[in-house]
Amino acid sequence: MTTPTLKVAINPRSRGRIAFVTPRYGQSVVGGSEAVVREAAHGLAGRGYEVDLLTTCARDHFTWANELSSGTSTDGRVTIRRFATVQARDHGRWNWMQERVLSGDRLDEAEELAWINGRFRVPDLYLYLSGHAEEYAAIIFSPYLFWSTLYCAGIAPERTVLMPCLHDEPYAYLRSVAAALASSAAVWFLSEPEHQLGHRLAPLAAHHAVVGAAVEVPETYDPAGFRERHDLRRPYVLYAGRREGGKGWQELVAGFGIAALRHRLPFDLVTVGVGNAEAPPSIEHRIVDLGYLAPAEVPDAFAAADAFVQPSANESFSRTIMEAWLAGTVVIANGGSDVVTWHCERSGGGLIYADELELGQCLRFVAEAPKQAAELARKGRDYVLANYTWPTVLDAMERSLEAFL
Amino acid sequence: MPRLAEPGACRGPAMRVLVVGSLPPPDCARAKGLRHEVARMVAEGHTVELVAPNPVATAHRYLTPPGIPGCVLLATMVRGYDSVVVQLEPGLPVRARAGRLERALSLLALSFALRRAGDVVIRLECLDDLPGGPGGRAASEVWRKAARIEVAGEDVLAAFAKAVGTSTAARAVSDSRSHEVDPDEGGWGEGADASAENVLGLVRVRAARERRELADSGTAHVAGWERLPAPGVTRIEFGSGLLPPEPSRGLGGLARSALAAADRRRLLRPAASAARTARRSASAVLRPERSA
Repeated sequence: MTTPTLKVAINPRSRGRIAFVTPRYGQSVVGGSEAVVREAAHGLAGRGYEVDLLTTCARDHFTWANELSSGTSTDGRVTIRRFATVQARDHGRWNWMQERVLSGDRLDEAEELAWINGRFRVPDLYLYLSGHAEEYAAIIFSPYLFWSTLYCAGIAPERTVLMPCLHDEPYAYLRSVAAALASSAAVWFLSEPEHQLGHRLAPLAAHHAVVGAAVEVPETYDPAGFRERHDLRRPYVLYAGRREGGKGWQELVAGFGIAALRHRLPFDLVTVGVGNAEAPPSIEHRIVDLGYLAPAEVPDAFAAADAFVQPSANESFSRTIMEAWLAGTVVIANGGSDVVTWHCERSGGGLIYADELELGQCLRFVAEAPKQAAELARKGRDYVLANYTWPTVLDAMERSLEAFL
Repeated sequence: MPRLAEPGACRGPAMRVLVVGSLPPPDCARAKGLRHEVARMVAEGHTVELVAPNPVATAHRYLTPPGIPGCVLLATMVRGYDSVVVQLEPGLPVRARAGRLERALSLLALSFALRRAGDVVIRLECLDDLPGGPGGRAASEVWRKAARIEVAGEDVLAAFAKAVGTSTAARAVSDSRSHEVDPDEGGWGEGADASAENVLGLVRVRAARERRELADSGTAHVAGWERLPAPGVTRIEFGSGLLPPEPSRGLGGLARSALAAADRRRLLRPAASAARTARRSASAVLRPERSA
């Protein structure tokens, strides 16, 4: 393994100045990579690094509208610099290229750049990084599939750390993604399957590592209080996150509906997060949408559930299954994701399904064998505490950053 | 009129700069060179806005379609900036496959667009970036709008000077090759030739009055050069006295005959119309200033 030889002048009281670059930032922004970036930034700031977080003024990842003010602010010890997005007008051409990407059609280089550039762009972020990159020892870009990463990671590749949060999806096979993986000085992966995917996509920078991600460990849980506050009188299985096509929400609703009728399950399907929670009329009465929850309430939602279902095949880490295990809740996960399968197999704490039939069997197991399900959850909690707490993950990040300081 | 600070010079007041040209991606020497220049401006505290002819380059806005329509669009953008930096490249202003007539019209359209601009800096990475090369009357109209021209390397400088008819001046410049600006000290390095230093000093003084002199005399001349801190980039500054005098026929006559020729070609009629509109618009704006 080779290491970058970069040296920069730093504040003697600081351990080094670093920047995170992510397209969205804020407590109300829902997303796994966004949460990892936020918590890693605060964690490293807490360990003595000067941390800037460079992001856009957008909150919504569909519209990319400038809802927040541009400029500089602080969030605890982290300095936030927001830059306005500029949106393209030719949505027809962008949609046409999007369909081609999703169908596996290979775009040429110009088309690929037009597709990346046609969603939103942040030229002021590019300018800022062009003029100030040398002030940072390392610049950490995440996640991979946005203009802020694919356009800006090439500005100062010798100090670029890419934390791609890869999913095995058509977007990952774009040549711009391969170029970013190959040209960055370092790459941080969140799990071993993601690391292996990275190797399949591009010749990786020599300096790459599986640093993992982490979740905060709540001191206490209040499942009874959560049920009471939200008037949840029936047992439920939980889905938490963005309700959209790429996350498997619609497949979950369909599979849950069939399983609930076939096995006469006692559960409702409770969901928290953002996105459209519409369901077919036949199952609508069994689905409870609690919408966006205050961060302090989320652990209680996990603890009060009989099981957590992760239907997404597009995961690079899956924070929510860690939160479920920490709360003592068994995980039922889509085996289509190498990452969640890997976690479940390593921990022995989860149930994997391949189709609707197996999803029904998993739910039936939880309903009929709660003690065995609780035992699985206990193994999962042990697994999280051993591998994915912030002190462990920040240690790994710092070991990687030392090469830049 | 405030001027953009030169590389290595002391930081001046913050300015609004419009940069016209394509930054990465895609990566190429020309785009990277422009990014280097933009990075310098941002680091010095200037406010930069990007306009690119390449629709996938990093930019706030795009000059599409390229060529004459792009120049017409540019004419609507340049006002209000302290400085306008234009990097010539295929499509800005001349499309790669443009014929002689279209080339002339494109260059005239760019010169019209720049009439409204403040301090103009023109960058030329290589002569191929300007199809047809830098010579000719239409091109000279563009050079006349520039307060400073930057070219990449001495080879380009020599070819440029030869094409625009300033070979003597360029040779004199090349002879002072050893007298490079020291980027750390912002001045001539050890062993500097006193005469070269004097020439440069004159150029800097003249450059401040350059646009007014051009308006008065209608002439512009290569008068000095210096190397930028970025390796391989050479700058030509336009002062007075070295370029051939403008032909008596003048810009108006040249433009009229070019537009008339364009009218005779059906495909170029829309472009000619656009160029006339831009010219009328520019004249309308400039006329009060002249009377004042």
